Parts: sequence; C-alpha cells; structure tokens
Amino acid sequence: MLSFLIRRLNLLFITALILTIIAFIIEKNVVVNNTIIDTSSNNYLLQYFSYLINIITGEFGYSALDNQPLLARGLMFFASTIELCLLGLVFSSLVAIPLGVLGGLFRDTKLDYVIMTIALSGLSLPVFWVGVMVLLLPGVWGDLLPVDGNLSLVYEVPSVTGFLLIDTLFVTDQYGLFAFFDRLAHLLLPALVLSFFLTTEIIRLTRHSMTMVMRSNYIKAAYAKGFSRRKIVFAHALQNALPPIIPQLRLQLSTILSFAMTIEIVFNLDGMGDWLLSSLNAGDYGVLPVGMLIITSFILFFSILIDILMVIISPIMRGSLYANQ
Amino acid sequence: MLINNEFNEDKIQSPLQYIWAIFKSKNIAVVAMWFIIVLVLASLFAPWFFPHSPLEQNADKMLLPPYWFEGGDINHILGTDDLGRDSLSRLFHGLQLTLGGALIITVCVSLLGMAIGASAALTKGIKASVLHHLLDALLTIPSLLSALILIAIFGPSYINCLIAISLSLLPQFIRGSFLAIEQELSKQYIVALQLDGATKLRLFRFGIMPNILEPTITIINRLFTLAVIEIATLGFLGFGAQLPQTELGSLIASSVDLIYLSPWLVTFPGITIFLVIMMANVFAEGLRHAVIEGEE
Amino acid sequence: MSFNPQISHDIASLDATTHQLFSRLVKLNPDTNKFIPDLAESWQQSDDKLRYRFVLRKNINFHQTDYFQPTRYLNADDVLFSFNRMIDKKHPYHTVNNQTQNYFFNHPFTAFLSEINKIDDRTVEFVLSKPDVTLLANLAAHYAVIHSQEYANQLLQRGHPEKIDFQPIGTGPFKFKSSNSKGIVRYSKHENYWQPMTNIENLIYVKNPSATKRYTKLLSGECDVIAYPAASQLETISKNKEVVLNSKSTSNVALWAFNTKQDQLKDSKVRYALSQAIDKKTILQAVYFQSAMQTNTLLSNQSWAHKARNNSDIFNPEAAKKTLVALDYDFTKVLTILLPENADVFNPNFHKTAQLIQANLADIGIQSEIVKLSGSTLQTRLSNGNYDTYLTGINVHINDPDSIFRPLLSCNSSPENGNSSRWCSYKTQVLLDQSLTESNFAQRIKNYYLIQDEIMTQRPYLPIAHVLRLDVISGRVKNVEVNSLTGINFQNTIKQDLN
Repeated sequence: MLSFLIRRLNLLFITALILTIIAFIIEKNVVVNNTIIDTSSNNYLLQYFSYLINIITGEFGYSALDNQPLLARGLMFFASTIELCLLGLVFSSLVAIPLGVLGGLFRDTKLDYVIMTIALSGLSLPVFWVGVMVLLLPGVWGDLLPVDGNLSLVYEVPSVTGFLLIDTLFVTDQYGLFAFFDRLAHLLLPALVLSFFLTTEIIRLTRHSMTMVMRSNYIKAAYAKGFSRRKIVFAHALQNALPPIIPQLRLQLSTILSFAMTIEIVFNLDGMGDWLLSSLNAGDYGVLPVGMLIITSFILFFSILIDILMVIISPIMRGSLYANQ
Repeated sequence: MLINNEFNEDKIQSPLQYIWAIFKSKNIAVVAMWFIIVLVLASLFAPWFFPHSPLEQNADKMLLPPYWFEGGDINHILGTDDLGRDSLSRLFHGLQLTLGGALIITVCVSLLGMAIGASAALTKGIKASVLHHLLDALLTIPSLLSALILIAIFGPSYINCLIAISLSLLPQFIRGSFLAIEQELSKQYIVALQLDGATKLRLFRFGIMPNILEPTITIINRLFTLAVIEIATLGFLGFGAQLPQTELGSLIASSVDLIYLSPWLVTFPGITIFLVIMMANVFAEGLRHAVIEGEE
Repeated sequence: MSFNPQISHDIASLDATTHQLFSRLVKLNPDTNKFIPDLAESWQQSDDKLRYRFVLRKNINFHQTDYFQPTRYLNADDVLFSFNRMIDKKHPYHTVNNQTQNYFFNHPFTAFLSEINKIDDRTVEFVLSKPDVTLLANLAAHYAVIHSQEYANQLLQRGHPEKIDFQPIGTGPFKFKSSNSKGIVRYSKHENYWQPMTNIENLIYVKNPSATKRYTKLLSGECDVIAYPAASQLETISKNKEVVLNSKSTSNVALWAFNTKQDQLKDSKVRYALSQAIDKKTILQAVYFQSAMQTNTLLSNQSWAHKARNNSDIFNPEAAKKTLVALDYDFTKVLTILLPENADVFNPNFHKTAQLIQANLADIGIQSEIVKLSGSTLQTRLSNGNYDTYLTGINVHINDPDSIFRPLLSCNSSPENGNSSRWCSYKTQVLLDQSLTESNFAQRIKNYYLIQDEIMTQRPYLPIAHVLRLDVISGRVKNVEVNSLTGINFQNTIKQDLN
C-alpha cells in the first residue's frame, strides 16, 4: 500500500510541478503584458522560484478589479461549479445507468439503437445553444423555473462554504427552507443541460462495461449453473460492471468542467467559467493562472483519490498494490 | 466442397475495399456520409448557387419568418435576419467557418497527434516519460480554459481560436492514440514482428496501423465533435470569428436578443450544429462497425 | 463600481445612486421646469450675478450605518467638502480613486465655479469666475450630491479615503448595505430621512447585461423594475398586461460624427452629402424598433431652444452621389467607421447601425471599414484623431442647450469628452460663450438658433435619433418616478404583495 501511495504521490508531484511552470508562463505572458509590473530581475529561474514559493504559501495575489484575494474568490466560485457538476451527475446517473445497463444487456437490438440515439443526441446538442433556447421556456410553460442567476435577490445568504445549497441551509431561521428551494430551482435547468452531455458519456461507459461483464466467463458459468437472467444481472453483473465506470468518467472530468463552465456563462450562474470570463472581459488577466491552478489541482487530487478508492473497493485492482511494474 | 471452387470468382479484396463493401450495406451511415459531403460542398460553393449574398441587406424584408410560416417569402426559405439578410445564405456562410475549421483541426491534430503518440509509444525511457508527464499535466486543463488562456495571450480572432482549440485537443488525441498503440504493442504478433527484426517504421506501418483503425476512428470522431462544439462555443462567447465573419456560434450570439421576436434566427444555426455532429457520429459509428466486422 | 455620482459616468450606476443615496441642494420640478428647494431652504443671487447664497435646511440626518455614525446634522462644511473635492486640485480627496486625469470630475461647472465660502453653519456662498445662468441646473444635476465631511475626515484618519466612493454616506431615502462583485447592491431604508419615509424596506439592484434575461427576471417576479428592455422586445412587452412599459422622451441623442480635421471630410459639402446618403428611417426600424425618434437636430424638440424648421428628413442618395462627383470626391478611399464595443443608452447596437451605414455608403459608391474598439484603446484612437467617422451619442443630464452644445462643439472639448468631430470654429465658440452669460432670454434663444443653423449647414455631426428612456415596471409596484434627466426615484414607491 505504501509503495503504491508513494508512486501515485510522486506522479502527482511531478505533474503539479509542470502545471506550476505552465501557470508561471501564463502569468509572464498574459499578466505582465497587460499590466505594469517591474521586472527587476531578468532571471526567469529565480522569478519562477519566487512564484513557486508564493503558490506554496498560498499567495496568489489580488484582483486588479476589486482587490480581493484571488485564491479565496477562485475557490468560492469553483465550489459553485462543483455544485453544478454534482447535481448534473445525479440527474444523468438516474437516467443513464439504467439505459446503459439495458443497452449492454440487449446489445445490437432495436432497444439498443434507440438508447444509443438518445445518447448521441445528448452529445450533439451544443450546450450554449440549449442554454439560449431555454430562454424560450417561460413563454411556453410560464415562469416555472428561473433561467438566469444564482438565487432570488430577496434572499441574502452569506457565503460560508461556497456551496450555495449548503449555505442556504444555514439561514433557515431567517427564510425557512425557501432559500434552499429557490437555489435548487435556479440550479435545476443548468444541471439538466449539463446532464445531457454526462448522460451520453455514462450510457456509453455503462453499456460497454456491461457488455464486457456479460461476456466474461463467470457470467457464463452462472448461466451454466442455471441461474435466472434477472438474478445474474442483479446479483453478479451489476456490481462488477459499475465500478469500472468511475475511473473512466474521471478521464472525462476536464471535459465535464469545460461544459459546466460554458453553462455557467450562458445561465449567468456564479462559478469558475463566469468568473474567468467576466474578469477577462474587464481586463483582469491575473485570474487565468489562478483559475488554471485551482481546476487542475482539483482534477489531480480527485484522480488520485479515485485511484486509491478503486484499489480499496475493487479486488482486481488491488493487485496493483503488490505489482512491481 | 470442391465443386464450388470451380466457379469461385471471389477476388481477394484489399482490407480497405472490404471494409468499404461492408460499410455500403449500412444505409443510415451511408446517408450520413452523403449528408456530410453535400454539406461540405454546399458550404464551399455556397456563393455560386445561393441567390442572395450573406451580406446583402434588404430594408423592406427585415425579420421575415421561414417561408412556411405566415408572412414568409419563398425567396428567403429560412427567412431573414434583422438587417434583411437571407438566413439560409448566412447559415451556409457560417457553416463554412464552423465545419471547415473543424475539418482543418481534425486533419492537423490527428496527423500531428498520431505522429507524437506513435513515437512516444515506440520509444522508451526519459523522452517517453517526459511526454507522459507533460500530457498528464496538459490533460487536466479543460479545453475551454486553455482556449481562453491562448486567446488572452494572442488576442481574439478566428485563426487564433482554431489554434487554441487545436492545442487544447492535441493532448487528448495523443493520449488516445498512445493508448491504442500501447495496447497493440503488447500483442504477440507484434513481438513476432519485432523478433523478425522489423524497423520501428515498418512495425508501425504494417504491424500496428491496420490494427488500430477502430480505436482511431473513435478518437478522430470525438476530436471532430469537440472541435465543432468548441469553435461554436468560442464564437458564441465572442472569442472566435470576429464580425463581419459569420460563424454558427456567433450567429446565435448576435440573435439572442431577438429570440422572442424571431426565434428561428437562434433555432436554425443550433439545429445545423446538431445535425453536423449527429451525422458525423452516425457516419463514424457505421465505419467503426464495418471495420470490426471486417476484422472478424 | 463606485457609488459616487460625482465620479460615475455610466447611466446604470447613476441611476442606482443619485436619487437613492444622496440629495442635492436644489432640484428641478419636472412639471414646471422650475428649481425648487431640496437641501437648501432658499437662495439668492447677487446683483453682479457672480455670487449665489444658499441657506441650508435644519436637522438633516446623514445615514447611520455600521461603518459610520454621524454625530451632527448636515452643515455648510459638508457642502464645502462635496464641491471642493471636485474643483480644488489641492484638496486631499481630489485625487482619491482618480485614475484618469482629464475625465474624472468632468462636470460643466468646474470651469466657472471659482470658490465656495462658508458664511455660517447654515449658509454657503458659491462664487463664479464669470456670470453663468446654468449654475442652478448644475446644482440640481445628478453629480451635485452632498457627501458627509465628518465621514470623509474619519476615513482620512483611518487611512482609507478610497472607501468614500465604495461605502457611501449620504442623506437620501436609502442607505448603503452591501455590494458584491457580481453587481448585486443592497440598500435599506434610511430611518431618519428628513422627508416622508419611504415604504420600501430594502432596495436591491442587480447588474445584468443581457436585456432578454432582464425581462425574463421581471416576468418570473425576481425583480420589479428593469431599465432598458431590449428594443426588439418592446412590442411583446407592451402587450403584456402584467407589466407597465414606461417611456420618457429624453434629450439623449445618437450621432454619427465626422472627423472634420480629416482631409477627406474637411469640406462641409462632403459632410452634407454623406448625411444625405444615410437612410435613418431604416436605422430607426432595424436598431431602435420603437425606442427612439428620428431626428435631424441635436436638440430634442422639447428643448426651449429647439429650432423646429430644421427637423426634416434629408435622405437622398442620388443627390448625395451627384454632389460628391461634382466635388471630385475620391471614391477609392476607404472610410473608417469607428464605434465603441459595448451598447450605450443612446444606441442599443452600434455594430448594426454601422452595418446599415456601411450599406448606405456602398450604395453611393463609398467603401467603408468598421472598427470596433473599447476602453482605453478607443480613447487613444479618439485622442490621436486616426478615424474618419465615429458612431457615438451624448447623454444629457441638464435641461440646458449648453450642456449638449458645449461638449460637442466647443474648441476646449476634447474628442474623448464629446467633440469627436474635432469641430472648432470661432463663430460657434463666440456664440456658445455669449449665450452662457446672456441674461436676456430671447437673445439666448436667438444665439442657440444661430448655432443650430450653423451646424445644419456645416454638418460636423449627423444626428440620428433621440432615444426614449424605457423602463418596465411590474404591476405589483406603484409610484416609481422616472425622470428623463436625472434617473429613477423610488422614494414614494409602494410594492403590493399579491400573495
């Protein structure tokens, strides 16, 4: 276990180092070009080390616009992005996992084709366009769901965790659960739009994984034993088919975040994408390296967390603990 | 058994012809292929056979609905925009940049990515390790973010947007092709080839290439899909094609405020993007199945 | 975003501050166009017209907030502080939050107000360098607000003078509560307001650049009033029974400025011909829908100096082409059309306007190029004069012809400050200066008529449209006062709860 951890952390360390170099290059190219910073020392190596030390000590600088510390603000906005992604993930899992399982079980049948067409449509719809088309909804079904913003303005919710869904729960003595439901209503449509794309991915992965499992020998053995199909699927296939989806989905994390950021911009929702874009438009380029470091370190840590988690829950993966490779 | 052999006129087809023959039997995929070909040709030669220039304004015919709606005009099948310009012409004009850009990106990135991926897979040691870590790092940057970064450095323009998207999609492609080749490399026939003393180039050309066709189609398809979506997204955000250039995403952005007055101005470009991606995926899926069947 | 109308120039932040947080010495009665007392109880003018004395009202409270507790009522020191910050270059607050040198306190009166004296605690005296009839109009304008000197001194002691513009203290009906970077601003009721108390407990402003989204928010009940709905949606909005579309005509005018210093455009006949080539009717239809009125004059027809005879459509492309050919105009040269990137109140879509103008110019054989810039790049381009024409407009905050003519036509006004045609003529300048000191009203009108005639023939600008100020107000809300000059006022507003 220890050697596995060390190997993973070593990888994390090198990748993180490369990322700080990239961030440094961005900082040099974008920020310095657009603001006046005295470049007293011309030694890039020295500059980089001082930059690195700043990052390690959490000194990310201050916004050129409102003098707020960039790191704190970035993390706050990133929390909103994660909130959106999680809700989107919940929605799409509810739809996609059953569909993917069905698709895998009835591969190359009519049902499978229908399911794959649904999946394909989800990928083909440009998210920003769906976000714009949603503006037409109030005309169709009245003002059922808000199409813009984070929270109704009447609720004044102090930001504690950055996750507004949780923050609204802290103010229940003032507004009851109304603020919470209002936030949920505001998140509903964006999360739904995000889940289009996620659904495609999850259907694909589940279907593939299910097919693989159903072809495997132990399932054949179970058939040979005379178990009913239902029992085989629910007792044996599912629990082996679902875990491998998680590391696969992890590889899509950066694409998912990319889509989530686009959705934030379209829906005018607080979050990383909206923050970066509005700062860039206002000429505050310092947000770019900070935003990049926040997102990438999240992805890195998350990846390793999943790796470790997979090793713990999956017996097959546990082999890699002892393998020397 | 032997009797049949007398009349055996089966030519031994090359693998590509064989795959093509299987592909032709998949109707939907063939339709999708023709759809894409027609779309590419139409957007390339749009100026020659559309009656209206995409920039021609007409003060008397502003915001016409499509012709099948009340008040529509048969001369403007999809209606006109807020300056009286023909929507259909503008759609194809926009498609030129969106689809054309995506195709260029797909070709460039897949050639470059395949080259880097192959050389990484075939070399061992420090070079591969450096590339590996660099890719790991680059892969964690969401493509929208890297596009924003590059555009912040070089300024917004259509060409810069293409470069930014290419650079952001390149790591994904390299990783995809690398994994495909890696998987092939561990197979026994490759080991046999290696033992025969094949050079790396020969190994790649005759050993690996024909066998990674299926995963390659998948990653190229994904590359194209993401390229279309990102060109349109950046165009929508104002970082892509700059006016008076038209691109499907910027076409949508410029009509957002007209959405209640003339919703089709927003609807049609979106449907076009949807169809392009859908058809490309159907086509790729058909091709992939043909390859799998051909291999079996 | 600053909360000080003295330094804000965009309509949105002025709307959100000037009437809600602050009060002025005098105000304009919108019905009679007479000046009426506000913080000043009364005033008198000296015989030489150089001195104005104002007596302040008693017992006026400043806002009590968690960041400032006033210990005294409003007095003459506060008035002195507020104005000296703008006119006295040595004032400790003059440079606070001041990043742009020449644009900061760019208000008309800074030119002629020489000093302000405190006579006693409740009396102040304004001394002018030359007689000027617009002083009262200036004091009623959005930027002539009264700040608290006590608060300013406290901030200076604490070493944070910059906070005065971001955590404001005033005497208006609402006081500042909080604001965030997303542009959400919260005010609460000022309990010690000297006038009848407002019915609104909390007033919230939110910035949303998309006109369509603003409207959807109004429909869903998330907000009660929206400013500047999308021009293209006016028809839909006016059909909706649940909201009230409030439209007020303004003197704000959209213009196409010709750079008169450019060789190509030096000749007034060329400028006139180009003006004839533009089809304003189509611009009005395509860009403004129903949110503006076509015009051919700088002054709106409500102004007392408006010369009505001039307002006829001159659109005539054939004549324009003939004139240009006769003048040996060089048709090979590409004309630049410079425009700002972001929409302004006087033009909802600069780019579309430019595209229409481009098409009109192409009809008479002139090629043109659209150059879209923003922020400091635009300012630099304007000041170095590297443009042929510029799509612009002017916001008018004072109901006086001088406030529109001077920025546009005076030799002392720079292109960034309005004179984007770089117009400078002795005749115009003399007329402008004379009118300011002219006490004979008939003579003033006559002077302004002369200026208008001059502009009509010289054509440094092509006036396109006088825009309407539009607000959409939810049916739940009553008594929102919108003044086309100074903005929106929620002092007497009542919100009905329908639930």
